[in-house]
Amino acid sequence: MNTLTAPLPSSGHGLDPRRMAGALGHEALGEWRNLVRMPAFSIPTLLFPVGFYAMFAIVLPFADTTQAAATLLVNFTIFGVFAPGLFAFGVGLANDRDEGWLRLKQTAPLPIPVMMIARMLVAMVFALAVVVALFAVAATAGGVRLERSAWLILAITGVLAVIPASAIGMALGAWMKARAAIAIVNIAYLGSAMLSGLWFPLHLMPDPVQSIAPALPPFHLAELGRHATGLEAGSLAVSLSWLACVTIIAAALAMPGLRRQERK
Amino acid sequence: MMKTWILSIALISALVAGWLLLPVPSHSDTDTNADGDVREQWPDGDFTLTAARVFTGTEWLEPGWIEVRDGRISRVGESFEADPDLPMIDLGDRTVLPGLIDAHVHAFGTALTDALNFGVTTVLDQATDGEWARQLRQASAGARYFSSGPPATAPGGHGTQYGYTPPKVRGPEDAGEFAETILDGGSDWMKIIIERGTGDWQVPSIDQETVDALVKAANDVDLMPVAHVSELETAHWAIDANVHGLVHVFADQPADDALLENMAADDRFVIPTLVVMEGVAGTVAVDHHSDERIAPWLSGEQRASLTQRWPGARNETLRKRAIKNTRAMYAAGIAILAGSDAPNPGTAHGLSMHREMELLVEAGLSPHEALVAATFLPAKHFGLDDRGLLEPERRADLLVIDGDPREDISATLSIHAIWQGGRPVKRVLTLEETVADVPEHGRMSEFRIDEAKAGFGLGWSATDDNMAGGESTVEMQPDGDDARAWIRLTGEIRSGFDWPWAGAMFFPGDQPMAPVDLSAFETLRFKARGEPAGLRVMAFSPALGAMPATQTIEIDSEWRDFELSLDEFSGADLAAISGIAFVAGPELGPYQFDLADVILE
Amino acid sequence: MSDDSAVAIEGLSVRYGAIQALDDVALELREGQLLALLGPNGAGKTTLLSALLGLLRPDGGQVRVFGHRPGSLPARCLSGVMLQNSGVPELLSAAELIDQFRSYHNDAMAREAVIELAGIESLADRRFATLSGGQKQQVLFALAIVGRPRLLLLDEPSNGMDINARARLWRTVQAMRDEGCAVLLTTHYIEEADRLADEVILLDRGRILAQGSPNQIKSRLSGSEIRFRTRMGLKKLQTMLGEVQFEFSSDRCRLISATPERLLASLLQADPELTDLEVRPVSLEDALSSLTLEHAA
Repeated sequence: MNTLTAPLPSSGHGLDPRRMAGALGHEALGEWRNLVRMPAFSIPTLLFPVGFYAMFAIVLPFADTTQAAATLLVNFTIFGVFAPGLFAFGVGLANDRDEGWLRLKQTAPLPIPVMMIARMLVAMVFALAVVVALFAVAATAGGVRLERSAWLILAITGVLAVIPASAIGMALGAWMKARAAIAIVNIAYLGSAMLSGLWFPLHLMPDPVQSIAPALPPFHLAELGRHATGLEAGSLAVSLSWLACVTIIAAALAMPGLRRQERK
Repeated sequence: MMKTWILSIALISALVAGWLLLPVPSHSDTDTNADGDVREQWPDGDFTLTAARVFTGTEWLEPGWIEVRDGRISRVGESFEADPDLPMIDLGDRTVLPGLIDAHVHAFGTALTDALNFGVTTVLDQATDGEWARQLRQASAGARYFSSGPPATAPGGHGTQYGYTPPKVRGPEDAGEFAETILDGGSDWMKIIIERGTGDWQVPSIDQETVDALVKAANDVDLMPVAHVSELETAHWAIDANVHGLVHVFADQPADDALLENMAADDRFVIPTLVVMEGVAGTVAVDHHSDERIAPWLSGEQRASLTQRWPGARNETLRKRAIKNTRAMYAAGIAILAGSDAPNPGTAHGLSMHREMELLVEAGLSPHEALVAATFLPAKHFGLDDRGLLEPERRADLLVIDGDPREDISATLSIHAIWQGGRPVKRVLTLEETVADVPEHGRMSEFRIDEAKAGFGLGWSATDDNMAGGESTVEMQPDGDDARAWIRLTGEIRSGFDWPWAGAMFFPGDQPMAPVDLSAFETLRFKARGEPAGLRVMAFSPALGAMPATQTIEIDSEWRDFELSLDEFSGADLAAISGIAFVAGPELGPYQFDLADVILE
Repeated sequence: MSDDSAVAIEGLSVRYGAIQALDDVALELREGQLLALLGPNGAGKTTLLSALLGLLRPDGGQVRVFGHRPGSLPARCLSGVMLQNSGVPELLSAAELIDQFRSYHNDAMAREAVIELAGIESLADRRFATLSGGQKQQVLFALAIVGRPRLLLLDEPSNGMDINARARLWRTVQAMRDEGCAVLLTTHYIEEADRLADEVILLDRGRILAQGSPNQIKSRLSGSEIRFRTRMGLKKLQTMLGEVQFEFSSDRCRLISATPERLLASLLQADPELTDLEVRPVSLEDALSSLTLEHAA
């Protein structure tokens, strides 16, 4: 019996569906280990939102009413959970492409969507960690009081926010060089957070900014968060459908970028 | 593999546990901020408001609109075109009720503000000292006050043990004079106490003949007679004598048909005060420690009266019978009025009205009827035709709560806002405010030759019985020699008040009578000398109401050291002491004494 | 195309803009065959591999991997691939990477077996980033064989490896070939191809220059290599050697001749003081460079 070379299968190729879950798990585990061992990713991902939130909500006197406290938590939750997906894909994918890891994966028998889903799941775990850290601060020092269901829905919103963030990251990472990606993703991240009113209330911003905000995904994610916590917000249907549109468009933009061959 | 599973389950459990630990809003602080209450910014006097539900005192408007002008209601309806010039307040999915009327209280201390803090905008005092009543009627803050003034009771009977002496009613011959006296004193109705005591507790009571005479006398001066009874038999006396209402339900035995028929026939009422019956039965059920709708809003006095207990064993039968008799009276068509009999042990001003409504529901009233019992009916039976009902011309006393009390009567505790006479009431968060921190040291006196300086608190002042109607005098003078500085109190104890006093008062808080936690101290030490006489040291505490705990010492012309154990100020809550007084009296005559080196250890 | 064909390429053309990277290339790789793809940089070796992996779409021709479209899931399942400059997440250890790749296959080798076959017992727990270039190649080789492939595609596999690692690599590749695995490799080390390959294909500027067993290629250049030192000048050598290609610097000359005896005779006649004369059989490398040079001319 051959031990080094498997016999040619008579029929049926590809990974056994029952093993697909295992492959997804291993893939996610590898992704998780890689990100956790990368302080440049894991530390800012966790500390930035918590740090900024603490600054705005605790050090500075912005959380002076229960509404303001909840608003700050919603804003910084969205700020925090937008990063893992955006960076894991935007910077991570550009890196993988530059370094040939993506090429090697494309030659391995793992369907590429499985790899993407695994990466997204790991980003969700990071998002959940951000949510847990923020909630802990909000509950103990931030003076935030929400109905139990509101806490839960905000957390779920935070975790699911990874999906549009990942799609946008994928669109950026599929087309950019790793070095450029770091700068551009950061600008996109901080810029859209600022312009979406996650840092400062929109009504304090100049008019042009106020009119840009409704085009930006973080704005609509924050809207979902405001809905979850019973704060004043626009139409839920508009926000959901806009986010779905952005996700689909970004994913569609990413596909040809992933397929194309790098010129040598 | 096993490890992975255990780890996953542990992680998920931790997340769920964390979620359950996240703080949820208490209804009371949903709209408050660090500075207090955003509702302070609400308009004063003239405005329109709307809410999903408005209970007028008799009926429901869904939604309801109310227009308030000059502190009175000008329009009410399910909808009307709002005056665009008036501020508009949309209360959303909330319920607006008339401010509650507690038909049975005994008010002193912080009673009126305590009651208002829980949405009780009017209280009816069922027996008090005439002078106290006069002052409370003029109080500028808190629930509006109406009172029977002093009760008609037998000499030494029930009602005489509270530190004031009602005009004597020895028999039918005194009835006329009694009625005149309380009418002059400003009483709004007449309270007749028919109480013979129970078990070991036996007291003299007026007899049936006297009851008849009193009712007649009351009718002569146009005062409505109501009666305190605790037995079926005495209830019959009262009803047969034509009193308008009973201010308690009796629980010695079941009500009989004759009584029920009589009461129902003449539109009489009963104020069952089930909440105080619950206290007497030893079955107090109010959670004032953790319920966020209650705990943060309680004053020291409310806390103290809630924690006090009646002596005696738990008596479920008593409670059951009180409920049963109330149910029978309700079934017979007798008007049921909500009243708490606060601040008896186990009750508290304001808060206990909400409990009373719960108990009335337990006794068979619908939540709607319980609300009627707490608003419209007391106003109707006590002739308060300017309140208790949301209709034009009546006072804009409004209680706004979250939720629908018809679904759960305890929703009345979820207070969102209170207006009194069209003015928004700022609810007082009393938890931190009432009891100041423990002083770092116990040096009550740091006297100087020319100054009655205190080590902490508001410090020393002269005190006498004038505020209680007495005529004693006092003068406080700092003095000293090479050895020490002291304060000298001189004056005369004069008759005029039952317990005359005069001397020096030390306020430990930064306000007069603001309670301070002195539980860290065990002993009160001081030096005193003076004209040989008895000297009383009195500790005031909200737990005691107006009556201080007293220890007595003997002084003579030499300086002597005294050491009093704080524990022996029986009944005083050392965690909330509002004043310590050193006074001469009650022996009449001139006095003089010096105090020095007063220190708590 | 035979029944045991693993890779079949016909008329493959790839163009990058103006550059014709592959021009009408045809080749077949059968099971149990080891094919060495040789050629200078830019010859089109990597392009050929990319086409074989489905990483690019050819402008013309047909590529089949076990009858499947290259890059299709069935084709990927049957292939083990080792690419040049493959980055892997550098913070993972070799063992973690192997486990990850094992999960992609229905019937993967045991982790220990892979580690042994790749000769990385001592490296398994080290993070990829800490490995030397040759050690990284060994780990990538492990990833290529983890799924017990029927087709092994190795792009410069032994680059940077030390002698022992290289020997281990070839032992494993040969064992796999012996079990019926088709192997396509590109290498710079021509002597490796000489020793291992069943067939050699020489690629230059997108075209197949020569194809055959190493011996067949060598026989295309039947003859010997002659080295000597002479005082003859360049001009004189040129006149004398005529069509024969030679390398000359100061007084050293190197040339390959199909008729060494005749040439030697005329050389010795022309310069009796010829020194340091060496005559030996031609190597594959010589054959190839001669072919390429010929092609260039």
